[in-house]
Amino acid sequence: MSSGRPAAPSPPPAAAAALPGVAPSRRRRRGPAPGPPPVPPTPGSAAAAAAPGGNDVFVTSRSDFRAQLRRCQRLLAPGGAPGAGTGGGRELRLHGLGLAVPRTINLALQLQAGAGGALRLHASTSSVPLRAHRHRRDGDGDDGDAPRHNSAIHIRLCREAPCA
Amino acid sequence: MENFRKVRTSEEEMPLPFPDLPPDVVEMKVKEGSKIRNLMNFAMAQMELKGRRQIVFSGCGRAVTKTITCVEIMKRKLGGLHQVTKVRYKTVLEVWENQDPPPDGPAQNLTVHKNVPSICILLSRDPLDPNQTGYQPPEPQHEAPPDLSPLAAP
Repeated sequence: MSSGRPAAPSPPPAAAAALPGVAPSRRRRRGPAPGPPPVPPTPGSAAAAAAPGGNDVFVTSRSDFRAQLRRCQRLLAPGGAPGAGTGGGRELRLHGLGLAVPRTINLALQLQAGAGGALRLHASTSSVPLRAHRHRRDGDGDDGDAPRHNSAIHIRLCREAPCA
Repeated sequence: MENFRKVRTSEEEMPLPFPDLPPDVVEMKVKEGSKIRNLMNFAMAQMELKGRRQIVFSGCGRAVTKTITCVEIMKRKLGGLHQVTKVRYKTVLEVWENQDPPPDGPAQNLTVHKNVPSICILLSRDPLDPNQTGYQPPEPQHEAPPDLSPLAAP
């Protein structure tokens, strides 16, 4: 999905010449962060059973906030959700992990303010065990270490009043 | 803004978003620099007191993650806690002082109102209304075998 951000202007030739050690072609332009891999809901999972037309948005701290906001607004608009038919996405689930938790709350509150109070927020918290990248050596067993956890928030946005 | 320096930050006092709270409920105001060990020592001691059934954790801005961490630690240690989570904006007032004031005028101060995301979490030993928004029932207590990694759970 394009972020809609205007492309950064290329440096003028004088500026490029002022940086002799940096080639202009090697300058990296930051684009929208790639989204997480799609997670198909298993038929027997509780989330799939609770919301058949639900949409999950995984909020990261690296992607553009306005693009995330527009994406969520499009998913909540009538006909915006892929599996919700013509009635529109009635429920959206935002997930934020660690540093992205304040951004997730901000996104949910912005969506609620933009909807004129028609959205209802249902927030819940959890802790996610992290899979650590350990440097294993011979005879260096790390299996006895306690797993590290990170805090996460899950916010459900519903159009109708009962959000359960 | 390079000539301005932030001299004061204050949070706007807002009532807790939970109705029917007892007047002597403990509110843990988590800040960005708060130590989790200090917070949890005080909060656990309060919850061990006889008659203490509820506790509230609140934090805003970059302290939101730490607030959730404290709540998750308490839920894991005590168990059987009912939870209600509310998110909202909190207004933070910042006063910026001009470092280069005009020679014939008083020092100019800027007052900036910021809306930062905040979270308030109520933990209760007693059952709460499951129909209110943000309610989270206690997790079922189950003893996992020690040889199974928690990452192996589906």
